[in-house]
Amino acid sequence: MKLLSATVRNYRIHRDLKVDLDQARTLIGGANETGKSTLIEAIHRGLFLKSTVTGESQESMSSTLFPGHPEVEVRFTANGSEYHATKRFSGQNGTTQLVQVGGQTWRGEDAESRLAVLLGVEEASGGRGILARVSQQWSHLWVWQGMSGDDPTEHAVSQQAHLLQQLQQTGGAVAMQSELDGRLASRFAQAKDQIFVRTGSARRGSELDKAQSEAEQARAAGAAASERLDRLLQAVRDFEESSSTIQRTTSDLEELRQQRQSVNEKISQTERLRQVDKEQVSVLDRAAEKLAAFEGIDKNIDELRESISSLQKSLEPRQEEEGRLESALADRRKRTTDAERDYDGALKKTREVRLRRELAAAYLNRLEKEARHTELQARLERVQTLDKDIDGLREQIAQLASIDPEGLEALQNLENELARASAALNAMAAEVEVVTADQPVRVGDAELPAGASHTVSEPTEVKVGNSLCLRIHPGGGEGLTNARQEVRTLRENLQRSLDEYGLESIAKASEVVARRANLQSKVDNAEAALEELDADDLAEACSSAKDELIAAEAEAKRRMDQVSDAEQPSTMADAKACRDREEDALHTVESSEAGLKAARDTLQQELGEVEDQLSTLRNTIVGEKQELTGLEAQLKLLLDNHGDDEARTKALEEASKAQRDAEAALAETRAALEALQPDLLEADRERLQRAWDETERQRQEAHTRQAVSQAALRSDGADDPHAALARAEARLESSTEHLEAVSRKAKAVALIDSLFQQEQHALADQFSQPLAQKITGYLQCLFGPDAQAVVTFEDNTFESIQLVRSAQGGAMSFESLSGGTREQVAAAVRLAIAELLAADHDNSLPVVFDDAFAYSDPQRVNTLQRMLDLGASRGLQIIVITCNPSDYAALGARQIILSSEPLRSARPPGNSPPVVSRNANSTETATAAPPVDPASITDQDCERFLAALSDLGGKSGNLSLREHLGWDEEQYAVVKDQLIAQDRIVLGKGRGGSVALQE
Amino acid sequence: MKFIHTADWQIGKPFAGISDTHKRSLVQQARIDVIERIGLVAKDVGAEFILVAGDLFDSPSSDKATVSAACSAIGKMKLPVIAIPGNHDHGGPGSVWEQEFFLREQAALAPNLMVLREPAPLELKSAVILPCPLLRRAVSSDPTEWLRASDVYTELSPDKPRIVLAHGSTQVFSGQWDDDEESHSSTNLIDLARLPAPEVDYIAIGDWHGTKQVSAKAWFAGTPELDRFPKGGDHDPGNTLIVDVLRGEEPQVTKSVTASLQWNELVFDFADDTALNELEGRLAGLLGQRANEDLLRLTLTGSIGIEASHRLEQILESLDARLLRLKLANQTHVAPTEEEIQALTQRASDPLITSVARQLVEQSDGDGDDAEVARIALRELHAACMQEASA
Repeated sequence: MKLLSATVRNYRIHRDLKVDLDQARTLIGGANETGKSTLIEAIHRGLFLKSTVTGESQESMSSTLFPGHPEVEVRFTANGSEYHATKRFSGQNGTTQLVQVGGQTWRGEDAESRLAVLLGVEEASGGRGILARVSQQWSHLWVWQGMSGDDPTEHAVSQQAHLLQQLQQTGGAVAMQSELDGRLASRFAQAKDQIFVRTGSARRGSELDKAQSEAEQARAAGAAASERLDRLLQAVRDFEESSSTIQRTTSDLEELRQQRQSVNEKISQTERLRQVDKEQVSVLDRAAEKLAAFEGIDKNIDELRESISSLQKSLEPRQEEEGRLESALADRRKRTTDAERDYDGALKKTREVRLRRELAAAYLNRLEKEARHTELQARLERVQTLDKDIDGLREQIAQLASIDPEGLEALQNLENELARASAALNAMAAEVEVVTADQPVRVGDAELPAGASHTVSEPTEVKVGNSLCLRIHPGGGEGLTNARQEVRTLRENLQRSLDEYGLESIAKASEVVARRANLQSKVDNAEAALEELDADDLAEACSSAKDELIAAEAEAKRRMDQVSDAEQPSTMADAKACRDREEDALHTVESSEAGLKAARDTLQQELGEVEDQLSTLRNTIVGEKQELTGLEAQLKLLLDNHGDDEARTKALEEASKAQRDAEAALAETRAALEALQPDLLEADRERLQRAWDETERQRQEAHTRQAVSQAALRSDGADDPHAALARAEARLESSTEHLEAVSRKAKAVALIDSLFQQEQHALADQFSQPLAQKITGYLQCLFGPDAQAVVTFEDNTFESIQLVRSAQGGAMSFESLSGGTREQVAAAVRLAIAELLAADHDNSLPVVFDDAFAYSDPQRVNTLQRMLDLGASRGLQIIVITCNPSDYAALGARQIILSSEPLRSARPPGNSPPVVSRNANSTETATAAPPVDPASITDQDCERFLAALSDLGGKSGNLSLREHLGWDEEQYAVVKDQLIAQDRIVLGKGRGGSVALQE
Repeated sequence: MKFIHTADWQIGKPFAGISDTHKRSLVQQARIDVIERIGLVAKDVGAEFILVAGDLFDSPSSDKATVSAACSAIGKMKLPVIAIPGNHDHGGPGSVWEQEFFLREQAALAPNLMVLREPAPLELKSAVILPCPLLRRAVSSDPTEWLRASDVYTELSPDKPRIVLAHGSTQVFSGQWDDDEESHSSTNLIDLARLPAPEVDYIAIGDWHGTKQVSAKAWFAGTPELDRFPKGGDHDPGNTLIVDVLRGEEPQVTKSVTASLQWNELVFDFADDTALNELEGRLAGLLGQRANEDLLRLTLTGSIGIEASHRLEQILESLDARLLRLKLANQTHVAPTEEEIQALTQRASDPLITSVARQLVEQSDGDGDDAEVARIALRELHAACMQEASA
């Protein structure tokens, strides 16, 4: 099928437009709003839209510019013939005519039906939405503006059967699955789906699920029944065990009871024996005590007797010793008295000699003190003289002015200064000398008598009487004043200093200084003499020497009274000699006295010793005698109390026997006790008690256990656990068998299903392969030799197309491709499908691309032309609509350029440069419609525009939107421009006219 | 002096393998019904009493209904019925024999029933019974051991025949009985040789379900009504023994058939699909037109085609419905016939079915689970194909 030409009249902006289409490659160009898409739409409707369409659908085609109903005439070849299809869209009265050149003519519905058959489509039903449905016709071949990126396989659905038929033939007579195949495949798919969920486990409620549940329940029931029976059997075992335990423990307890009885008896016996033992011990103790008492008494008596005898023996020598000591004592006493008498005599002599010596010493002392006192008295008188001298000198000094040589020197200096200053002043001063005067002359304030002179050292008035007054100015000016001032100051200073000293003159001062120095030297000499006399303590020393002398005199006088015949030495030497003689005499008598004293002391000591010995001895004798008396008293008391020796011996024997008897009885009792082993008996009793307790506990426990198990065994008879187990086991067995059978069948169904699917896939691959190859051929024009198409065919439907570019690695699904690539791949798929379908249409079909590569970059558009050319060379009629014809310059297509300019003449087809064909007879209406005044646009128009765009999903091709609005191009364009200016909509990215709501 | 020797009534046996409750109760009821027939035999021969050598009940914990039914049936026999506990209904703690309900029902319905639970001589008017009851399911000692001592016999009446009543095995048997019975082991073994032969006149034994004489004086009575599929041919179940015995003389023993249910066995091998007809013939011969009267253990081997397997399924379905129990061991292989394979694999117009079927045929070769699944799949495919094709 090929389109030959189309004529469009009164169709929106087209007054009357005829285009001739190339058999292979046609390019329809023109600026926006020149009606390219309108033209292609008109051709499509001329073929597929019933002419009797009414309402908005019809109105949308009408022109606002030109009167008359829209008409479309399409010439085409199909089934080997040429046809002319003419439609006049005038509402219900619309007409259709189909003329087979050189053949039949059809009109009205017949024409429409025939047309549909020729085009291989089902007639689109009328009513609402007819335009949308009609636009789906041949949508696999007809790429509407803005639809280029859609998956073309979706548009090919209506052609599925034809496509598959072609693929079957192309694929080397591949067998398609039969209807029965399909039914069985879906039957088993359903069957499998009823049994299994996607994860492979059994679907709830399926037979498999039920069988699994039943098997599971049976297993649980079996376990429960088994457990129940086990419990019963356990109860039987418990009962038997506890019964046996009761039997055993009962017998054990009897045995234990007997043992306990025996032990208890022995323990009682032991206790009795212990009591006896205790009593016997007490008897024995008493016997032993008695015996010991007797023995003690005997022993006492013996000891007393021995002590007495021993004491008597020791007394005899002591009394002899006493006599001896008494005589020794008398002797010693006599000798001591003699020695004392001698010693006293020596003492007396010594005293006398000592007094004499002391007297001699006192004389000597008195003489010494007297000499000393005399010497000191002399020195004292000298000192007093010197002090008196010094005081006189000092008085003289004090009467003089107190000037020293430095003060004198300072005065002399001041005098010198004054002399120098006076000299200087006198040199400058004037001297007024009154030589004669008849009148009183006054110089200054002072009256100067004649002959007197007065030195004037400062301006001074000299008045002579009352009439003459002279002022004398001494020379030197200022210096005179200064000099005068200096002299005055110095003089005052000097005078002040002299006044301070109380001196009249310097000379007097000099004299005073000399006298002061003389007097001072005398004082210094006297003081030096005083210093030598040690004057300070002298008075005191003299006084004390006097006191000492008085004392020494008193001493000598006193001692003289004590010595009767003493000599009185008068000199120091005599006194010393006397003293030394007395000293020697004293030494002699003193040593004699010491010898006598030592002899007396020795005797006294000996006397003391003897006295001590005697005293000690006498004490001892007295003590022993008292002891002896005491012992004899004790002995007598004992003998009185306990009888004589004979009586006591008898009593002792009796006591001894009693003790032996008691010992024998106790030994017997103890032997009996030992035989009973009392320590072990207690342990036995404890052990047996323990054993009894334990056995009794076991017995009680066994009783409890027996009662419990007996209760468990007491059947209510409602059910037989043995039978229940048997039934449960049988149920488990049968449910397991059933599950196995059901599982096997389910597996079989799954197996069949999987095999069917596998086969379907294999078949699908065979189907899709030729289509994929065809698409690949086109894709390689675009993407190079490595590009490949993968087509998925499932359930006899093409499910998806994928693009494999080795450079990019794996397969990319159509949806994941970028906009540009997607529209290119879509074009390749369309060409491939068209190529396959063309077999039913004289090996040719038109393929329309209306602005179909809006997203493709210029370079890709260039390579696209290879692909389009390949389609054309394989018999397809390629029609490309674009606003940029130069992009497709390399396609080598016939170009038809539309223009909005009026009166473009039609040119013969096949010419180059491009051809625009407009019927010449439409001169008055060939111009484009007069421009719409933008001022006439209402807000309502704008809102309608935006609402319509929103209805179409927010973006739309211009043509679709304009149709939707039912506006002419001018109105549409003006409103669109306004909205763009207002930034309320934006132009689409592609070259073709599309708009989108501003986001 | 005549008496009846029977054993192994096993009343209350659950027959859990029978899933249909009605059929199960029919089989269970047969065990009650046979008591009446034993009673008739006893009456016919003028027996003085009936000895049940153990396993009167199937379980030591029989339920009330079983106890009541058994007591009722025993009560109707009128004659004294003397039983000992066997291994199934042993007299251990909690056993049915000591349950209050049993004692009550015994007193109310079966005052003629005497259960000997202790190994002590029981002197009757015309005989001395020497019971050897089992007080556990399995004892390692010989239950008759107490009869070896000579002083047991000194006090016994010298004129009355002495009858040992015991339950156990006289030798180690195994593998002679089918299915659900516990295997006989070395427990409850009775050593007949050690009994003082002159002291006893008859030894009535229970446990072995076939009637069997094991010595001059010792017999297994066998079960009076079959309760399982027998395995070999040398057993003889379903009888009741009539014993005529006097002190010091050989006992005279006569069998009386009392069984009513048919426990059949059939092993069949499919040589080809035509064998199906033969099987039908054999089954008809075995079972006639009866329903709910027979039990059958059917073992099928060999292989059959898909169509034939469907027919076989129908036959088995009928059997399962008609028989009290069909115990089936179906080891047949479904091996599609050439025609069936061709019908599936030579379908030029249905390429998918053809291909799937071919793969299944390939996979179905062999003995593994996968092959079995593939065979089933083949059958399913075949059935679906026939069904869909004819739709």
